[in-house]
Amino acid sequence: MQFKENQTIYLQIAERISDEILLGRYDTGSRIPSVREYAALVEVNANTVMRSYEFLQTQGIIFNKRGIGFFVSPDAKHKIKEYRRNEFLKNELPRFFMQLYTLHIPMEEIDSMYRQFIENLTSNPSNQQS
Amino acid sequence: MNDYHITENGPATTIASKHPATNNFFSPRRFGRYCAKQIHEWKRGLLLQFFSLAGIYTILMFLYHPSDGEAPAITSTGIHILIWFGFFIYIAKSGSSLAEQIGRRSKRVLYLAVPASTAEKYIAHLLWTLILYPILFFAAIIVAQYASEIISSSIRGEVFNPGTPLQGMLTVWNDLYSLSTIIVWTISNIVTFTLGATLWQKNSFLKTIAALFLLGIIIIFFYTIFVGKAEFGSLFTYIAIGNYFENFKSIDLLWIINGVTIIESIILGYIGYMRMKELEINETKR
Amino acid sequence: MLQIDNLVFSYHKKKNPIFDGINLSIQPGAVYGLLGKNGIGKSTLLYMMSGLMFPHKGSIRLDGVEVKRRLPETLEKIFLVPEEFDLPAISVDAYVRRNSVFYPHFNRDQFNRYLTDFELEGTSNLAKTSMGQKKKYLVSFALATNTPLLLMDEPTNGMDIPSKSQFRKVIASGMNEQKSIVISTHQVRDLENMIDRIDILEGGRLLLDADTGTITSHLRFVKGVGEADTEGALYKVSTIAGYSAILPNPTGEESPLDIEMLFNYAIEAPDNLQRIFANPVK
Repeated sequence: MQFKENQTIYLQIAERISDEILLGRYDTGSRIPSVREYAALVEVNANTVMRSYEFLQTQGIIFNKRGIGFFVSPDAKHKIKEYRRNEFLKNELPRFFMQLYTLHIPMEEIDSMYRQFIENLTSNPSNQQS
Repeated sequence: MNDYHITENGPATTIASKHPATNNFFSPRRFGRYCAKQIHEWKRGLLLQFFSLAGIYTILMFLYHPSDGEAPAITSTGIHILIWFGFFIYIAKSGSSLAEQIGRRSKRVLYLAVPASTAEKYIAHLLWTLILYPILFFAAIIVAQYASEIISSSIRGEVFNPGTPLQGMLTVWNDLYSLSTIIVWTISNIVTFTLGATLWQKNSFLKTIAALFLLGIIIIFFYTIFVGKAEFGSLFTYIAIGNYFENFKSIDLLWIINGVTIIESIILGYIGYMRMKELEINETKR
Repeated sequence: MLQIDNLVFSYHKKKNPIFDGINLSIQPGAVYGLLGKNGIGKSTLLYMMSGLMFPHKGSIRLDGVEVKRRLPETLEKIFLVPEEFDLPAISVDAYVRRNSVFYPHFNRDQFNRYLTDFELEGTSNLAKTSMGQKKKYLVSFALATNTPLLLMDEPTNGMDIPSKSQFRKVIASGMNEQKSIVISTHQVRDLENMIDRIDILEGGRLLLDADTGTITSHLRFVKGVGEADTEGALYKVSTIAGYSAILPNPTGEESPLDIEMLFNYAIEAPDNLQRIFANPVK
């Protein structure tokens, strides 16, 4: 696994697992690999992977059946999107706004560009992401 | 930091299970396992030694083979001397062989780290040299005995007369003194060369011989100074018949020498054991 | 579990000691990275931890027993993978059968799994394999013994690049909460993301003995940033992608630890580093 430079490893792993859930590699209600298996997969210390799992657990994306393992929550996909939405609004959007502000890009221009983007996306379903 | 639970993978959870208290000095079970480990790891080397010995003595007996074929080569005095000489050299080399296991750091590390006690490792070595190597040696002699007869009868057309196994070698069993002397000498030999191996790991065998030689010279030197006997030749007569021992028969005196040798072996053996306990990885000598 | 108290050792009486009062406690459930320059005494420390060398002063105890006594009950709880070693001229199977009996928690299935991970086929003569292969066999065996303490001296030396990746996989899957693994290395990149706790050996002492969480709460690691973002940096290097730097971390925000940078900083400014870690984070 190729890690990004400036994000903590445990969050990157959590992101990766979330992606895998969204892509349907792990179905809702099914068991995800054990901490050790996942640690071996991404070549990262088991304690770090445990932190990722704990993080996903507090987000309600996975849950722990003691003695059996970790399972994907029934509403995992919804929870992941909700989490990402919050993260985006909290972290990415202010940065985006800052760019608009410094480059004097009016909101109307952005609005029309966004509509165009959505149109392209819906007319060409292969671009659509889950 | 260590509060994660990976219960899906079974083996890890067994670690905390209790097992009976360990005997840290000598456990027959562990000793057996240690011996089994060694014999398996040495299998190839031991076979090679066996065939080398058998080969050498086959050639020697073939050369010594009497042309009339009346008596097998093994009964000749020359061969006897060569066998006993070879035996003591071989046993001494085997005693020194400990140095091979602990000499190079790359081997010593794994030798010391095996979970067996120092006593078990030390006793295993002594037992190999006392039992395994002599058996190996004499088995090779028996093979040589037959092989040399086969060769001389087929090449030179001489009468095939191998005699009984180790014929003429076994007279030592008839005589308690000779038997005990051979055993005592063997033990002393093993213990001395084992101690040598714990002192010097490089060229252990030659260095031990050199040390014994030096020791002999020193003894003779002090003997001549303090007892005042100038001639070396009289030394042996002095010990054997000696002025101080006029009341003893010489055979009694030889028993005393055997006794002294045993005590000496115990002392040297103990020093060797202590050396083994204190053996370390020497980082400076690679 | 393993407790080192005031360890003092020197090779020559008159020269500077290579260990001058080392204290270290090894606890289960963590991978310890023992870092240090070449010849600083990493191997010596591992030998002492396994009872193969004796301290001049101080003590090293495993579960309360001095390791230098080399009692079987102690030795069966330790496995050392030395940097260089010889294996006997026997098959893998025979080796495992004859050596596993000394380790009460050895697990053959685990061993086979590690061989698969390392893409090892098994051999009829271990002595004839290359050093890299020998290492892979011994690391597999070592992890499968499930000894509470596993010591590895420069394990990735002599391994090719794919093997180093396999090595990380094997360690990650062989680790569990009852084990502690101490890995010495000067090639810190090989162990990136594998280490829970970092111990830096320098000048006869442990410059740093801290878990990664503590380190990242004291220090912030940034990579590929502009020069303006490295303002007040404790340590910085310029790379093609911009600057990489270690910054103070007043907010306690977590960043990905870069061991190599930390190590270089530790060697460059040992006093500063020690001062930073002397103060607990509020």
